[in-house]
Amino acid sequence: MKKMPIYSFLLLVLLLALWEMAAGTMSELVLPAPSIIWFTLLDGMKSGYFTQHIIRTALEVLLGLLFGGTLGFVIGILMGEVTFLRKLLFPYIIASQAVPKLALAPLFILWFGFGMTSKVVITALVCFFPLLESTVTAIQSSDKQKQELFRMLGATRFQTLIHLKIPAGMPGILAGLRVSAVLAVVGAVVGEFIGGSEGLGALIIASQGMMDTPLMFATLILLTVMGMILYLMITWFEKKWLKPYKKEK
Amino acid sequence: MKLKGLFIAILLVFVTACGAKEETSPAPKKEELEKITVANWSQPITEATNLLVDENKGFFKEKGIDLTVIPGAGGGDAIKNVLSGKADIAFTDPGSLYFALDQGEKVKVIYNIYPQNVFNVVSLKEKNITKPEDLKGKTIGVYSLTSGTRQNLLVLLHKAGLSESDVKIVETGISNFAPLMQGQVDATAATDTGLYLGKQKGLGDVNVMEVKDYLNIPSDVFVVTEQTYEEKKDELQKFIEAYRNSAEWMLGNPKEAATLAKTYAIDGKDEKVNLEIIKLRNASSVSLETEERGLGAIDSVVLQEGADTYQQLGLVKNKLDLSKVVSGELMEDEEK
Repeated sequence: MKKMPIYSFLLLVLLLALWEMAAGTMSELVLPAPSIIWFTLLDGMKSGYFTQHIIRTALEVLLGLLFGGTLGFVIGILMGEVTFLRKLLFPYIIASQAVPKLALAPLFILWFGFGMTSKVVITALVCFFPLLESTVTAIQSSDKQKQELFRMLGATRFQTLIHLKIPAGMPGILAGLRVSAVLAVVGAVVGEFIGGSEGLGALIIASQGMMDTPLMFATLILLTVMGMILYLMITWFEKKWLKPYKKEK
Repeated sequence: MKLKGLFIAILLVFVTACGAKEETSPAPKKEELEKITVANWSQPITEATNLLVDENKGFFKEKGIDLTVIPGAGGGDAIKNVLSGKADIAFTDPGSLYFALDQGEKVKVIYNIYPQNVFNVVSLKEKNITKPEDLKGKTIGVYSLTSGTRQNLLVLLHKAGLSESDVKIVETGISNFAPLMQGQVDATAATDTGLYLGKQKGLGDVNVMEVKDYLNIPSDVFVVTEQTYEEKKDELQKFIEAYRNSAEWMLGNPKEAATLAKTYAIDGKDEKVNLEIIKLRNASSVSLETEERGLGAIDSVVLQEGADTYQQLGLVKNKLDLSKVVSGELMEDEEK
């Protein structure tokens, strides 16, 4: 099992070699070789061609995640704590999430303009639900015996929430945040597809217009890396946060 | 406590960033400039470089205009943005104009951006498709079912006495030369710049049927609402003067435009490709009409012929009267 990373790396090398060979038999427009994609990526990074697009998309993702995540977390706590609210709001929230965001994106552009706001709103909407769902579940599933102990010690409802329910539910909440983070990249790209003149999503559309398939793949790699970095950052944050609680056990 | 600090820092970044980023072209003395917003049919791309370089060249600023260009996904988007009040002027195609008029919208055409029809139908040499009649029974790719490629393909078929039911039209997306090279379609409807890029990517010997040989309607025009036309006549006139200057600059300085496109156009990565695209667009900006009456001259007869063809094709329901829609008044005033 210790050799698994090596096997995983070898599998990647094998797949890339097969891809390179297959690409040699057809046009760059249909399937560009990994080597060409790599050089396109390097050139774009060196010349600064990607810089403004990376910054734009990263900002949209972070702001959307911050907004959508915060809202999902706060409403999740309220719905986890207040049964009336949960029963009142849940059908509407599920309905709002069942609507395909891609279909709504052109309207958001009309409502919120062509700047960054519309993309942040779409991203926030995409990020909102996973965190809301995981927060509600986490708050509701906190240990009943510990809740009883808090009550016996005279803790208020707010104290029980802050010192028991939220810390104990953190693994579930952070799992929701991880899902939100990856979806945030999708949300920002969808927004840029519709009404963007800057950002990696807009660059994908432009690369199709330019018939520059290597550029499209290079942009997809950048988006993948962005999603993975966010995911890893949250995993790192999760480890730091949960460390004291694990020690207790 | 560290986490709390981090959270507050992120919030502060958000508050400052959110207000900072809106897409307006920076101008030093905004209070003196009239704000004009153009709704483009596309992202900021190389072929419209003259519209994107005001920060550097100042064509619009020197006429007292603070220009903003907003992106769109097709000519329909551009008109929608004008009708919803998001922009003053739409950079759009005649097809989208006809659809808006058919819906009863009150709009006016004020400038002919590209008098030449840049659409074509391309097939590989071995398919031996040399005239529209040869398309019967063939599979033909279009960018999308709402795009100019489909509408112009229908025009071409109509001129050969064929209709949509005589061929199989498939939506191939914007990279439509890949299915042609792969043999998934027999022909593809495209534009001159698309064909140039396709050839760069290894498209072999091809037969090209130019739609302009059958119906030479303009490719793009500037459209405004009647309300804007009445309320902002002076500003629109200044805009036309500035746009005409910018188009003349691009005609005379294609290399400089190609260099600037690297900075200002989202697809302007390769200067050599930029230059070829700009040359193609320059060629479509001029016609016999523009040679006589100057850049932007509108021929309402051709636009009317286009509208009538669209009606015969069933693309629009009503008989459209383009003579009431086309206005050369702003350009005539300028000439005086």
